Amino acid sequence: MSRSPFRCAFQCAVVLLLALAFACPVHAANLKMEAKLIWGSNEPSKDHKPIDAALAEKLAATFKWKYYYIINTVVGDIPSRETRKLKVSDQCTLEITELEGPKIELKVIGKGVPVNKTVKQIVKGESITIGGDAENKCAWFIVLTQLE
Amino acid sequence: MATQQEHAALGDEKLVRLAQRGDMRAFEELVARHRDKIYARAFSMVRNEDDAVDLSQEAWVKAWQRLKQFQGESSFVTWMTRIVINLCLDHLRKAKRHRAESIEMMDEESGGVERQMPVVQINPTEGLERGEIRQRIDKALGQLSYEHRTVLVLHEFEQLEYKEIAKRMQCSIGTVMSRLFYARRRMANLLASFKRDELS
Amino acid sequence: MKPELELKLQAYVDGELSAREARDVETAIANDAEAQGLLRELQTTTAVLRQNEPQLAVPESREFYWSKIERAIEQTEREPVRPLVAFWFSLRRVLVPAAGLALVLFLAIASFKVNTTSDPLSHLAEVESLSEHVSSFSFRSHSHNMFVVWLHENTEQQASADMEPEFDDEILQ
Repeated sequence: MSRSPFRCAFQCAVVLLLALAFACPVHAANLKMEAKLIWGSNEPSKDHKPIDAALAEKLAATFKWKYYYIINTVVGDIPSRETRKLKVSDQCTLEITELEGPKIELKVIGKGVPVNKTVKQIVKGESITIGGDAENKCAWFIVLTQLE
Repeated sequence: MATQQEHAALGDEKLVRLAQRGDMRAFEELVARHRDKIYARAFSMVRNEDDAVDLSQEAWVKAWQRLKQFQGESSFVTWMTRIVINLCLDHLRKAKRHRAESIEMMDEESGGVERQMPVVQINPTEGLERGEIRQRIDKALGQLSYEHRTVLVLHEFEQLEYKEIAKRMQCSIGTVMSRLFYARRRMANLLASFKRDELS
Repeated sequence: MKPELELKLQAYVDGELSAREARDVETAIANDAEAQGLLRELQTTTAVLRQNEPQLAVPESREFYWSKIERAIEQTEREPVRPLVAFWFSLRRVLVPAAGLALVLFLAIASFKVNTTSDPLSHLAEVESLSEHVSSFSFRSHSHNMFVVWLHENTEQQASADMEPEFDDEILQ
C-alpha cells in the first residue's frame, strides 16, 4: 500500500517539530559553563589580551588590581547530575558537578591536589569568581559563568 | 510489574538494570538487601547512629540519581560503599572543624606515641567467640580518633591501597602510613588490654 | 627500631613494596627479634580485623528506612518526560503538529522561568577548604552580581595585610 505524499510530508513535519521540542535546552539536561582564566596586575602588558570592558569594570570595582588579561577560556557541558572537568591551565582544573537545585559543586584542583570545594545555587547572570595571589603581586582569577 | 517476592529472587545485576530503567521497587529491593552493610560502613566511620542512618540514606538517594552511571565495573555493593564512604568523609571533614579534640587525640596526631606501646606478643582474641571478637573490635574502634579510625576502616575493611586512601582522605601517602601504623598498634594494645581486664 | 623500618615493615605486610624492597626488608629483620615481633603483631592485627569486621543492622524497620529514602527521591526528582514518539505517532490527526508546537512553546517558557530565579536564598553557598595548606573566604558582591571565593596559602605571613586583596567597603557591609 503506498503512502500519499501529503501524509508523508505531514509526518515529517511532526518529526521536525518533535525534534525541535527535544532540542530545546531543557533545564533538567546540560549546563553550559564557561570558565575564563584571568591574570590581574598593576602593570600594563602588551603581550596579553585585556578582558572585555564589562568584566574589567566588575573586577576592578571589587579587587585592587588595575589591569586584567585573559589567559584562557574553556567552555564545557555539564550533564544533569554528572561531573565534568574543565582544564583551565596546566596547573588548574575545575571539577564541576551539576546538582539538584540547580546547584553546582565546584572543586578547584591545583597541581593535582583538590584545594577548595564550593556548592552554590546557579543564578543566571551571576558569575562565580575564584581567585588567589600570584607572583609579583599579581593575582589569578577564574570567572565561571553559565552560558545557557 | 514484578512483585516484591519476584524481585527478592533476582540477582543484584538484574535489579540494577531494572532500577536503571526506573523500577523503584527493584531499587527498594537493593536497599533492603544491602542497607545493613552500607549503614555499618557509615557507622564504622562516624560512630553515631543517627548520623550513620542519615548518611546511609543520603547515599541511597545519591545512588538512585547516579544509577545510570553505574556500568558494572565493580559489584553494586562496592559501588554503593564508595558513595557512602565519600559522604562520611565529607561529613567528618566538616565536623572536624568544630570538634574539640581530647589531649589523647592530640598526642595521637603528633606521632611517636605508638613507639611507646609494647609489642603484643600473642593473639589477643584467641579463644573468643566471633561475636565477642567483633564487639571488642567495635569498642576499640570507638576509642580511635576519626583520622586513625578512617584509615583503618578504609585499609582493613575496604582493602584500599595506600594511594587510594591518600586520595580519598586528601593527604599524603606518608600520612596514611603513619596513621595506619598508629591505628594498628593502638588496636592491638586495646584488644590486649580488654583480654587482661577479662582475666583479672 | 627506626621509624622508617617500622613503616617499611607495615608496607611489607600490606604488599605495598616492590619485590626488591621486600627482599631488603626480609634481610634487615632476619636477625632482629624486635622487628620480627612487630611484624607478627601487625600481621595478627590485620588478620583479626579483616576476619571480624563488626556487623551492624540498621536500627529502623525496612519500611520506615525505605520510606524516608523514597520521599527524598521524590523530592529531588521531576516527572520524567516520557518518550512521546510512539504516542504521537499513534495520533494521525491535525492535533499532532499542534501538540508538538505547544510542547516547544511550553519548554521554551519553562526554561525561561527556571533561569530567572527569584529565590532570595540563591546567594547562599557552602565553601570548604580541601587542603590544609590553602584557606579560603568568600563573599558576594551584590552590586556586581558576583560571588567570590578567595584562596590563600597558609603561610606565616598570612596575617599580613599585604597578602589580602583590598575590597570595596560596600561589599563588606
